[in-house]
Amino acid sequence: MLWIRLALGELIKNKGFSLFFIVNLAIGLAGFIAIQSFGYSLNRHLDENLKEILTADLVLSSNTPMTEEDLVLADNVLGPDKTGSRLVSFYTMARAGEQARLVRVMAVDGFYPLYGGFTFEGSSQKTDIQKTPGLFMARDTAQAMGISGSQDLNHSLNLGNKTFHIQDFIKDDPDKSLTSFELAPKIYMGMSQLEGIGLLRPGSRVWYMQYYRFSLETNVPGLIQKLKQAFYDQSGQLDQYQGQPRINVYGTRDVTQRLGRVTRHFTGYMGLVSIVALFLAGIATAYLFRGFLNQKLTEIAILMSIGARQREIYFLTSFQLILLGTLASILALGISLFLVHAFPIIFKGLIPSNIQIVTDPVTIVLALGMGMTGSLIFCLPVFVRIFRVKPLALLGGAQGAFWGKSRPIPFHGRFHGPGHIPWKKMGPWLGHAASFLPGLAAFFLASVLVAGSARTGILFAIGFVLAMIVLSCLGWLIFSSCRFLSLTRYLAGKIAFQNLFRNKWPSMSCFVTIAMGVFLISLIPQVQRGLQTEIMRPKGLKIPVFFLVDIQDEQKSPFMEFMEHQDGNLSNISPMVRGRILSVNQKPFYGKNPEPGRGHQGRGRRLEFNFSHRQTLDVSESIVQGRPLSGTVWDFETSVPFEVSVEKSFALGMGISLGDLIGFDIQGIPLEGRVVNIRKVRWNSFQPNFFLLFQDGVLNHAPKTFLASVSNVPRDKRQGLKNKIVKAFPNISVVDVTQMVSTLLEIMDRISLSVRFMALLAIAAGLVSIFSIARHEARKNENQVNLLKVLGADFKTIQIITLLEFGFIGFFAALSAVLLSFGFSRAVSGYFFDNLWQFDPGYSLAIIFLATGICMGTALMASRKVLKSKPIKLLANS
Amino acid sequence: MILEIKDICKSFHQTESGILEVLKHINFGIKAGETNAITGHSGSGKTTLLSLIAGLDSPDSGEILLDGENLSAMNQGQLSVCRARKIGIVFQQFHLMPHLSARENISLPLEILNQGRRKGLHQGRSKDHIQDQTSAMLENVGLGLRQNHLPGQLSRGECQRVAIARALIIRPALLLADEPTGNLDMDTGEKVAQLLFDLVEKENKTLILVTHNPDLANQCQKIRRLERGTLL
Repeated sequence: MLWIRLALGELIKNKGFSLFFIVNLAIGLAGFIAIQSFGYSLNRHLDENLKEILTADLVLSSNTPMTEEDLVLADNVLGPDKTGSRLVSFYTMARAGEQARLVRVMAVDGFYPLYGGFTFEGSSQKTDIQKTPGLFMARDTAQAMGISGSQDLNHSLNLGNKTFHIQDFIKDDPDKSLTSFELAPKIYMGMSQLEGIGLLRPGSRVWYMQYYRFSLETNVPGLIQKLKQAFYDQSGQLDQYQGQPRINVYGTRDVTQRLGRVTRHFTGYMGLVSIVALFLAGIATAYLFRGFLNQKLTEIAILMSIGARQREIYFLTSFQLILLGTLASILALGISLFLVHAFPIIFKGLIPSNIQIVTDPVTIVLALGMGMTGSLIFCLPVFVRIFRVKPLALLGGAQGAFWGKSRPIPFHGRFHGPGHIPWKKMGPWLGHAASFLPGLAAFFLASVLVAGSARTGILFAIGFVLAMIVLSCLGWLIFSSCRFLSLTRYLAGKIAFQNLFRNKWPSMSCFVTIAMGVFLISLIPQVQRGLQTEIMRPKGLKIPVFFLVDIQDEQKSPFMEFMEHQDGNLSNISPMVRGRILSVNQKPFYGKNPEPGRGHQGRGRRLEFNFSHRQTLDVSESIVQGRPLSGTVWDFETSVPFEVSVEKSFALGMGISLGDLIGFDIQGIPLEGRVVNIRKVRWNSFQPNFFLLFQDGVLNHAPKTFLASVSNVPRDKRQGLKNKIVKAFPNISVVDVTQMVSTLLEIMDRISLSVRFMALLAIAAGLVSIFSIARHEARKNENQVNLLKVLGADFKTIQIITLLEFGFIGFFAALSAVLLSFGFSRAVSGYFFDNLWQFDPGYSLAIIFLATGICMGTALMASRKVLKSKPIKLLANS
Repeated sequence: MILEIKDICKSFHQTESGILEVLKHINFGIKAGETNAITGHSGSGKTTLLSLIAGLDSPDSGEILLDGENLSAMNQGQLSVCRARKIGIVFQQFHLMPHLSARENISLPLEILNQGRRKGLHQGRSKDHIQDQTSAMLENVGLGLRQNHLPGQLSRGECQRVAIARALIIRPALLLADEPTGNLDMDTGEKVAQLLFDLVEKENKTLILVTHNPDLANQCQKIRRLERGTLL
């Protein structure tokens, strides 16, 4: 109890330290806790609503209609205890009068959905969708097609060859994805309405879904495995190579994994930024503790001189740190409760709107654990100084300096020769260096855990440590050069630069803390700006206005002729044939045990691929390895494999290399091709591009559809052209690229905003650090300030000294951080985003001057009390 | 003999001047209840000798026997226990705990002893006993009315009185004082010194006093002079 009482007494006496320590660590922890709570809430929401999201327990999906044989097989495996429903989904153009737009048709049977339900504006029931020969859609969708007012219900709408009427408006529908960003709005109709619509043609992109619901006690994962195996065996009997079945089988667990990956992306990057905030808070915490410990060392020595043992001193100090850490955790939990409520606003559209944000018990325990251990880990490099406290320094009238050069190092009667390594002397330094290791290890571990991937976490941690090292070196150089700047005759400058030079370590702590915060704030927008520019105005490319899908083979010539008389240029008409990859180098592509060392991540999911052919590469493509495809037409009778060009990321993901022999199944015909080049594609060109391009002659006679793009359409003629195309060719889907670009930018804005939000938290932690450091330095220099006052320096001069010191630190920290972020953002853009990088001088300059101003203001605020103190204190202190 | 110093040597390694021999083969003994002054010029080794006797540092060679126990053979933990039980130290700079009141500062060594008692290291005292002893000690040093004041609210002389009371409260076998009046004006110094000697006499304590002040030294029964690390 004695030690606890003493510990509490000290903390109460040092209220300022205790308060700053708690607030500082709490701000650092709050972001981390908020992110964990957000991730937990998102996962919990998905878990609780998974069946409603999927609308079933088990789903079969295929791009071709399921045969009777397929359904019988499923029926046999799944048993009688089930209910089922069907859905056919595809994208097409809907035309209402002169307005046409891309929609996603959802043709359902009377049982859909098996979980969840529809909410209609009118009195319709879900079975009405099947029964009624009409359409059901959201009111927003209707309004987008110019249907509004009293005539909206029963308004006619053209889909393919048929005319429909709107039966009711849907307020809420069961098919929900994680985000509300969709390529096109949904229109529901009964399955029987598909007849005669003329949109389900060969080559059309259609999803055929079969849903099943089981009783509660059914082992659904077991059934999924059985059914997968059954389809696998069925496909093995049909193919010459053991292949992947046409039908995909999945359940809630697969969806959880897929959505989990998405949520990890949301929370992973924000989490990493929150780790930086925590780390910055940690630096300031250690700095605060350093000041506290310096005052405390005399007391420790006194306690030791009257019989306290070292372990009791360690207990006393550890207890103080753990107590402060715990209080910081509690405060952080409180702050995070406010922060988490900002996430649904920041992520609007990207996450379900009805998500309930809660802080889970695991996060609370984690927060408390991090507060308690974090305070110890962060302060360990300072804490180890207690090991060297010697009470003998209390003798002889000494008032401080309980280690180091002030006392001679005891000689133990041994002679040290010239070649002797002074391990005894190096011991404390090695120990001091080792005291940083737990913090570093914790940082690496936290980064990996938060990022959800060892690679990303380690890359981030290494990048961060590298940035710290670079900034520390820069800081050292800058503050060393202050020696020369202090030669000035200007008094305030002379003193300010002398302080910076002579207090290099505190100046560097401040410098690194500010620089890391500014580095983050500067880095993220720089990467984002490059991406934004590339999406909106890709260098060397011209984004089309429309992207056209599903042009049938027989429509190609009439469509080209049609477009000749319209505003806009039709370009890049590319054939598209769907098929499967059967083997790579004679080994099954979907083998159960893929060859180690080659990428196969994507193989398990993708069943069909799109193949194409073009005479010359588009401007958005370039060969990075190999030679161009030969212009000669491939002879179907030859035994020589045809030439294949593979897109770079696809090749990487699928483990395909230059020279590989690939077996294809194109519309039931097995063919072999050899990879002659690896191609890089700039997908942001929004032109028809493909993972696999074949030599001329391979696809000439295969049933195909065409993709194309239309550019140079004046803004005011775009809707008109779209309507004309849909009227003349109802099956052709016209994707509005401009709208797609704006959706992409909106998503990017949201993600960038979320990361910037966390970066602001890092800056907040940085500001508290600056305040703490400035306050500590001001107090340390109190005697100097008072002496200057006694010597006649006015308040203004003393104020200028403070402003100069912290302005200098702030300016150079921000400048170094901005310069460093240029390098990092360039590297990140080069590594992840194909060198999409753009310099924004305005933003960078604003950051530099804002950071300098904030730094000066904070320092002035922190040192206000000392600056205003009366010089009489000098007499009292002496 | 309560204290025996046997052939003590102590050297320091200095970067510029190599080895500095501070104490050279020091030998002497002190009887229980005796008051001793150690005098000498600055750098003669007085404070080093005091630090060795207090167990705050260890000699290069030789033995220090306090009440029959060899301090030189003890580890840090044993030295801490020994200090808590047998040695009281009065510092020139008082070295009081700034956030504890005069009463709390004085009772602190007893409470540290009590911590040890719980761990079975030695016999402790009850809380009431600690309070009574502290009150008595406060009265002895004339600070009964200032008991709840913090060191910052006390004068230098009062601080040193608290320090003396803190050193004596454990009834130490040996009281060490390092320039106890060195930080006080003459008048206050004399009063504090008087108090120190009165209490030592009253409690029959053994005192070793390190001082430059010949008047203070003269009040001790024995004066030992150190010159360049050698006892004259």
